[in-house]
Amino acid sequence: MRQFCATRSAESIIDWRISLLSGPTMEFTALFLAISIVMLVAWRGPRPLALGLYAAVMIACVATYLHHATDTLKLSF
Amino acid sequence: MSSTRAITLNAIGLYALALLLAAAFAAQFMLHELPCPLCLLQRILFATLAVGPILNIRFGPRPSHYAASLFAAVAGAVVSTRQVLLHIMPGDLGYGSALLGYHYYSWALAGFIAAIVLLAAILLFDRQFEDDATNAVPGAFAISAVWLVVGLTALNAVSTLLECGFGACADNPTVYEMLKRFS
Repeated sequence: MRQFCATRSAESIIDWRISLLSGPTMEFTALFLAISIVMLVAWRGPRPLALGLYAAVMIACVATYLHHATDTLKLSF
Repeated sequence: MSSTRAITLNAIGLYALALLLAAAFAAQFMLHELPCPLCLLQRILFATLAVGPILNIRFGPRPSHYAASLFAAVAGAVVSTRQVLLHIMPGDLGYGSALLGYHYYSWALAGFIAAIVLLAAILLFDRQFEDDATNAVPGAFAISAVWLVVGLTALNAVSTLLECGFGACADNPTVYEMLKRFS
């Protein structure tokens, strides 16, 4: 029983790593939602929070760009 | 330039961004051209440009607010330049249809460069930062500009969810993944 649990746990960690390494999913929907929230905080909330969230979204945008910039290009000559 | 005039210019900037996001929507739904991942990232960065003007309208003009928009404009210019370079080989037809001879990512590059120049130009006017406009109440013109941009950005979140579904977006999307799943 103990061995079974250990195996299941290890498989779970492997699945999690595979899904993480295969790249982010829904990143563009999440970015649109995040920037909508930043706009609402900028309009209604405190200024430092809005600027902090804005910085986080910009970092996420750069990370998304770098993720796509390193994709293999399917060129044919 | 007084802070009141600067706030009016910021509201006009928000209307320009709203027009741009609406035009992208029109191309998407009327011409049935689904945006690629880099196209979506350019739209996101156009929406991010709006954070600076919203902060200026709410808290009064400050250099840090313009700097926030400048960062977004530079990032957008980098992304659209990459897409232009991806399709620069002779014989490459580009992604999507052309508008007045240029593809949307070429227009996006021109838009981001124009934003950088305009932001630098408005930063030249020091008097806007001298007035304390922290407690100024924005007018209906500015308020409707803010809600228009927020609404269009939220609609983009919905359309991106419909296009990409719960997985990664396709490099060359042809169908709405969510609609395909439920049809």
